Amino acid sequence: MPSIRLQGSDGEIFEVDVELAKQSVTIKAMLEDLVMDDEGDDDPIPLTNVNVAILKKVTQWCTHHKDDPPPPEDDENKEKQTDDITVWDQEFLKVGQRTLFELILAANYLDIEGLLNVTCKTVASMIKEKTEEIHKTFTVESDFTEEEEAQMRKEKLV
Amino acid sequence: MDRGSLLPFQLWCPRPFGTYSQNQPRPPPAAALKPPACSDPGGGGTEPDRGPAHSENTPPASAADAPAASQHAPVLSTAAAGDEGRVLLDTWYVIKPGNTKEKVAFFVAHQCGGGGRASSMKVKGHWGSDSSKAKRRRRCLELTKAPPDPGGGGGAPAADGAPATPGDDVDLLSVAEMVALVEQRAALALQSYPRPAPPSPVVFVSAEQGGPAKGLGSERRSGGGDCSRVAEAVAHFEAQRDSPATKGLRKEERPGAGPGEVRIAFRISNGREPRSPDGNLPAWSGSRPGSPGARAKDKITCDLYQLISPSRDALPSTMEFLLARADEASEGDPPALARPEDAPPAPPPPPARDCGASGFHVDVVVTGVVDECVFFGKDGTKNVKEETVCLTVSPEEPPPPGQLFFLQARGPEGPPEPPPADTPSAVPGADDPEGATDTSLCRLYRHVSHDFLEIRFKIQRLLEPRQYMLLLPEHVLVKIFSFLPTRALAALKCTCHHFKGVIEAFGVRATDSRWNRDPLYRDDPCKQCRKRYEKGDVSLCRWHPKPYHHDLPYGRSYWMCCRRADRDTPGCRLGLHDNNWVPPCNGGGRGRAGREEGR
Repeated sequence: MPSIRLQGSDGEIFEVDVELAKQSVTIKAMLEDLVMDDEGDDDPIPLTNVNVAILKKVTQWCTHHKDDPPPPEDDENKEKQTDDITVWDQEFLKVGQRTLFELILAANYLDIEGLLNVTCKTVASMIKEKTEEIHKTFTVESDFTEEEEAQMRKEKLV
Repeated sequence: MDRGSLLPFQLWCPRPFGTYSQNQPRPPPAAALKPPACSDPGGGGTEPDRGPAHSENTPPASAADAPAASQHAPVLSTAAAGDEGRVLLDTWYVIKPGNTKEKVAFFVAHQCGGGGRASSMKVKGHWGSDSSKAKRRRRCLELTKAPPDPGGGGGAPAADGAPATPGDDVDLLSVAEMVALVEQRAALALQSYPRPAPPSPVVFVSAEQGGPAKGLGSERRSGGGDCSRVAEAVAHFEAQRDSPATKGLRKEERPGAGPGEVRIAFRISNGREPRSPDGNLPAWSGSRPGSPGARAKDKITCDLYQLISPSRDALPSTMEFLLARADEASEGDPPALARPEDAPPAPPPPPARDCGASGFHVDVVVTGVVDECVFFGKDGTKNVKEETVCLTVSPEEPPPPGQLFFLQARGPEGPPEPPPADTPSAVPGADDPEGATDTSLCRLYRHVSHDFLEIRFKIQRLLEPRQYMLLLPEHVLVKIFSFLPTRALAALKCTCHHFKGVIEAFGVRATDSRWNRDPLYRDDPCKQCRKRYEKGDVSLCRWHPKPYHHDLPYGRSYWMCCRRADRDTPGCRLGLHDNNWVPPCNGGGRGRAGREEGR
């Protein structure tokens, strides 16, 4: 099977199957733009926003979901759920926050919708589980003043 | 003094209640009466001569009779009750060894010197107005025998110079001479340390009377002796200490305080991982065999407070070297090392010190392995740079005492583990005080092993909390927020301005929101609270199940549900906003009919 070489942000070269790589709309567009023939050019495709370690994880996910149907278009009326994550995806995404958010960024950069959906759902699930500890869980500092917080309480937001 | 040469004497005391009523009349004493061992109840310090012999308080025994009586009564130890109404005391009071000699000297001198001697015993003219027992004791010690000097230096001379027998003329020393004697002993003690510079003569005050005291050494000079000379001698001594000649001395040999000294404080914290005794450790640890093992669990932090000195010339060469190294490192491009997030209970670094503390120093001898040496300077924390200076010990010679920390790095071969911040290609030696000019003499130094730095940096990066959520693009945040229920979204909206702005700007709706999306009913108010939907509204609906009663002329009305009196009281029921007068999934016509029926 033909393969292409991808160069991560750290300079390392990673070789991946073309069909798997084409799950990424970004890589697919690059390939189409480069008009690569079967012999292909040996020059790797630079991916400046993704390192090789994350590329390997993405490749692993793409390999597992290579036979999945394309995701439906986003419907606003359709109720969004977070409990429809598969077991394999749950195990696959049992990683640290750093890796999880890097996968989100990689999925966003490579435009892999399925991976982006599942990673966003995972983060949403984390927020739902620790609504009271969002500051602590995601290390987000509150920048509201006391007056603003009082106003929010008054508006029944809290 | 030979104890056997002492003439025995007895201490007598009148019978209890102070009466010698049974005493026989005594002839007037041939010699001066010995001083009373028991003070007169009526007062103190009375002359030995108590007046007529027939006085009730006159001790019956005289010096002439002492030898005869001594055979029967040992010195100061008679316990036999005296006859003829005299009571021979055993002891009068607790006598310290020093006092014993003094008393013995007094008594012997009294026995041998005669009456004139007795008066001289109480002469206080040579002692000054503030004579004290200590001075008197010291004087008597000079008379009899010089006490053993702990330094071993002054004892022999003093002993040689002391009168052979107590009967010789006492060389009464003045206060200045006493001070001079002490200074001589200190000088002799200092002379035991090797000094490259020639020993400077110490000026002592000469004796007030007679010839120079032999016991004070050959350095003594003759001349007038008074307190002013002592002050001059002290001033001269201090001047010699501060002279440039002393700067070449090692630190422990430098006697006085100099500007630019470093104040050192140590902090020890436990729980540190054991270090590997390899070259990564500070090189000076090798000069202290056994210490790394002993300190495997302790982390010693040495805080060095570099005090400002207006003149770098006044700095010791070692400090100038350290500053020069810091300047070189700052001029380069050293990576800024993060402060160690030390758990030590160690407290936060002290604030910057004032520059005007020149001349203040504390001599500290670093005798142990130091893990960290931190300099705190006058600059504020924002202006402080962190450099790593690797100081190693020259393997050729062991570090001298007090110089352990201030040693310079090795020679051209460089330290074994050069820190990442420095480029110790050519480390200047101790004799290279010149360095990059720098107006600020205070730097922040941090000396740790390279491996420790690297590991610590990695751990800090791992443990350092990062706000990943804030790094995500906004559309990704919207996507994430769209999966959240109303309560979670409301909590996110109250987290920070960024989240609040994203939710309101993009009109993020919660997954369980009951706001009708139908364009026809989008602007309908909530059925409960009558609130209209606003873009990004994730508020919860609060309403009162039962209406508020109006104020009536005969009484105050209140909410029936919660009995609150104010009309604007927040609702006691909590829920989601709902402006779905009709289910959105039903047809529009049925919906309109339902709305008409509801009205």
